[in-house]
Amino acid sequence: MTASRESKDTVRDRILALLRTDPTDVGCGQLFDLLDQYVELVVTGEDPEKHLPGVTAHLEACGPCAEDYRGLLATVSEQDHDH
Amino acid sequence: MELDDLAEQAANDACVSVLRRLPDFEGRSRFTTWASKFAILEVAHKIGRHRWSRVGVVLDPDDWNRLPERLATDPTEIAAGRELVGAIHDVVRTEFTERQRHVFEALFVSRVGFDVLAIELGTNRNALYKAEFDIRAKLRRHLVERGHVTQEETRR
Repeated sequence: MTASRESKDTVRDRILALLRTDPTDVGCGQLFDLLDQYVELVVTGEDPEKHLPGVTAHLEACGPCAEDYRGLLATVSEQDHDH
Repeated sequence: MELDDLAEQAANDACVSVLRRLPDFEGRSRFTTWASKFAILEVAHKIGRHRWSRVGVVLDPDDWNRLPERLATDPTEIAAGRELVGAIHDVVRTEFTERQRHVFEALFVSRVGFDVLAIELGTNRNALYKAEFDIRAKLRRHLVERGHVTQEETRR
């Protein structure tokens, strides 16, 4: 039921993905507080999952926050490219 | 509202947000990265409100019937999907509160945008996500209890 699943997944796989909840998931509020740090870990080549695993868990489960993450990553990458 | 207006309003509101939150900046990331996230948030919120004002939240009961075809193209897969979707529909009808049912059907059956639904319900993304998180856990619990899926299958 999420758009991010690969096409090789079965219907059951897709539904099971919907049923999974990660207890380390930080939620949207804390995600917003940490998003800038997470993006900078990514652009500097660090492993963000090692430092902020709860953010990774949330981004895998929350489509709107994942979209914000991609937007901020694109913005920061473009800013870095221009300088 | 045209998209240019929307972008301009989002930029203005982001500036206000940055100025208001300036005392909170702790230098854990570069200032430009920290400030840019407010612009991203404003754009997402404005787009959600824009969609909500144009389309609103439309739920079609037939979306349940169309769900298996939306999840697969292979006939065997569709049949397998129909069985599990039927079990989910049963849990949603018999175990969920009216609000939980509305949230589930909007997000997963009729694919209403997350921010659009938050605006309709008069809540925010964080509160709606927490509600959705609980709904998914509740659905999992009932599907396991009824023998449609195993606990192991629902773990990472």
